Parts: sequence; C-alpha cells; structure tokens
Amino acid sequence: MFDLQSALNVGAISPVAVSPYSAREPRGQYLSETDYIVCDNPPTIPQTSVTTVSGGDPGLNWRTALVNKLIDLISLPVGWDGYQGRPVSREIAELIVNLLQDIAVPGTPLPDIIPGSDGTAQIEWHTEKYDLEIDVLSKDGIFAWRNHIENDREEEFAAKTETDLVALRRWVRELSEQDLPHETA
Amino acid sequence: MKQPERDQSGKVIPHDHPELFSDDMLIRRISPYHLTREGNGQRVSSKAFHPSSAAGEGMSVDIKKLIIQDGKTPRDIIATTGAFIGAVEFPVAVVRNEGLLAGWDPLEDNPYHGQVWGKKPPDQFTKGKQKKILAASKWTEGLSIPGVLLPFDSASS
Repeated sequence: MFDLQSALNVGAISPVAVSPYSAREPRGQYLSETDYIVCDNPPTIPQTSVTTVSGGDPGLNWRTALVNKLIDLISLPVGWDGYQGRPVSREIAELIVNLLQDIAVPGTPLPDIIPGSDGTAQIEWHTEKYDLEIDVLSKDGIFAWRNHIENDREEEFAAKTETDLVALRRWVRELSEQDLPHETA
Repeated sequence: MKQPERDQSGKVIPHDHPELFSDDMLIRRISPYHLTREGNGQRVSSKAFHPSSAAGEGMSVDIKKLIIQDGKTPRDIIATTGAFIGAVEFPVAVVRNEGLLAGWDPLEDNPYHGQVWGKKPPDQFTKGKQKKILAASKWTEGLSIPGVLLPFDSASS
C-alpha cells in the first residue's frame, strides 16, 4: 500500500514508471506503490499548469500535480497569509488525496486547492457550468457547495455519510461532463 | 479607540467594538495562494475569508481608519510584509449584517489588527457569510492583484 504520509514527509514524488490505470482503485486504498518513488529534487509545477494527459487514466500528471501542490501547501511558512496563517496540515492533505481519489472520474479537471489560515483547505473548480467547492476542515468536517451558473442556484451539504459521498461523486461527475481545456484525471 | 477587554491569558475577548462604525472599512490581506482559476483568469476564493478554528480566533483584518489616523496608508503597512500580498476592504456593516462581530485586537507587531468573529465560533462563520463578505469586497488602493477581478468589480461592470 502506498504510504502517502511518508511521501509528504520526505518531499515531492516523481513518477518512475507509468502504470496504466485500468480500473478504479477501491475506495480507501492508495495508489500502486510502483507508480511513484520519492526523489530529492522535486519537479516544479506551476500553479496554473494545464498539461494535457494523453491516454486517459491514470492521470499520472494530474495526481503528481495534486500531490506536489499539497506538498507546497504543507510547507507554507507561518504567516503566509500576511497574518498568522498556518500551513495546511498533513492530515488535511491526506484527506484531500483520499477524497479526490474517491470522487474524481475520468475527465475531472485538476482542481485548485486553497489553503485556509487555520491549516484546512478547500478543493474547488470554477467552470462554465458550475462552481464547486469542497471545504475540508477535518475527517468529519467536509462541506460541499455548488452553484449552477446558468440559473445561479446554490446547493450545499455536509458530507458525513456514504449517501452524501454518492451525492458528491455525482456533483463531480456532472462537473466533469464538459469539454474543457484542463488537465484531466 | 477604547482598548478591548482581555482574558487571563491576555487574549482579546471576542467583542463588537462600539467605535467601529458601519461605514468603517476592514482590510483583509489576500495572498496569491488565495487565488483560484476561473476560465482563463483568476478570482479570489471564498476560503480567503475563512476564520481560524482555534478557540477565540476569528478572521484577521486590519482596521483602515487606525492606519489613516497614524498618518500612514494601507500600502505602507501591508506591502512590507515580505511575500507579495494584495488586500481587499469591506465595510463593517457587511460583517454586522451577517450577525458577526467586528473588533479590535492590537498586536505587538500590528497595532491596527482587528478580528471578525462568529458569535459562536467557528460554526457561525459559515460559507455563506464568507461569500457575502467576498461579494462586498473591493481592492484596497495600491494593493490589487493584477488581472484578478472581484465579484464586486464584475457586478459593477
């Protein structure tokens, strides 16, 4: 089982071998260990990189960009927000990886991860059809909000149960069902 | 302004300061990490207005009139923090209309520091309230982030 915690502790990860993603990982399991090794000189991925992934899944570049972003956020200095903001906690970073692994589908654009001053973070997408934000505050504090751009209709709920996760997966799937020039999972 | 009350540890007790009037402006610093992609551009995320979850901690702000009274500008105070920081400002009235508290919390290294608290922190500082504050925010003069529109700008154009 891939130890994300170790990867986050040591540094960025870089793909060594591309392993085709032929089936979705069961929920709660990490990526295959052969996909990644830890390296000392992490590649620098600009915040707004939109590399296109060819060959569909596994979206290796997508996952690499995500993990590198999270490593960036857990490495933020205290005061990064101009006040006394703390870096994103490792717990939150792992929650985000697990959650996205659960709810992302082929075609899901790479989200932005926005840190909060308190060590939490928010996953968000802003597309032509939807604004979708998932505020990850703790293991039991995940709040989803969506706005339908066309009619300015908002929805929100706290994702606590499996039923809630089913709804969240549906939101992400609906958001992903668009033709977008974004890096996709 | 009257000094705020503090607890035994010296921490300011959340309060609604009576000398912060409805049209006084509160400044919130915006980091590049607060920006999210939208189309081919960027926007400020609502997460920029998320409070601290620690007990008694709200959302840090700078109180604009205290800066001005000291003969300085917001740019004098904020542009010297090191990493590039932009800033937006919004009236105290917006905070109070959402049932939040606006108070003064002077710090050793920032005498203009204030806080916005939920009345039952942190649960009452909801996502909806954060978005309302964002919607009412304008760039502080000299501290806008190039190319980043605010909802207020979009609504006005």
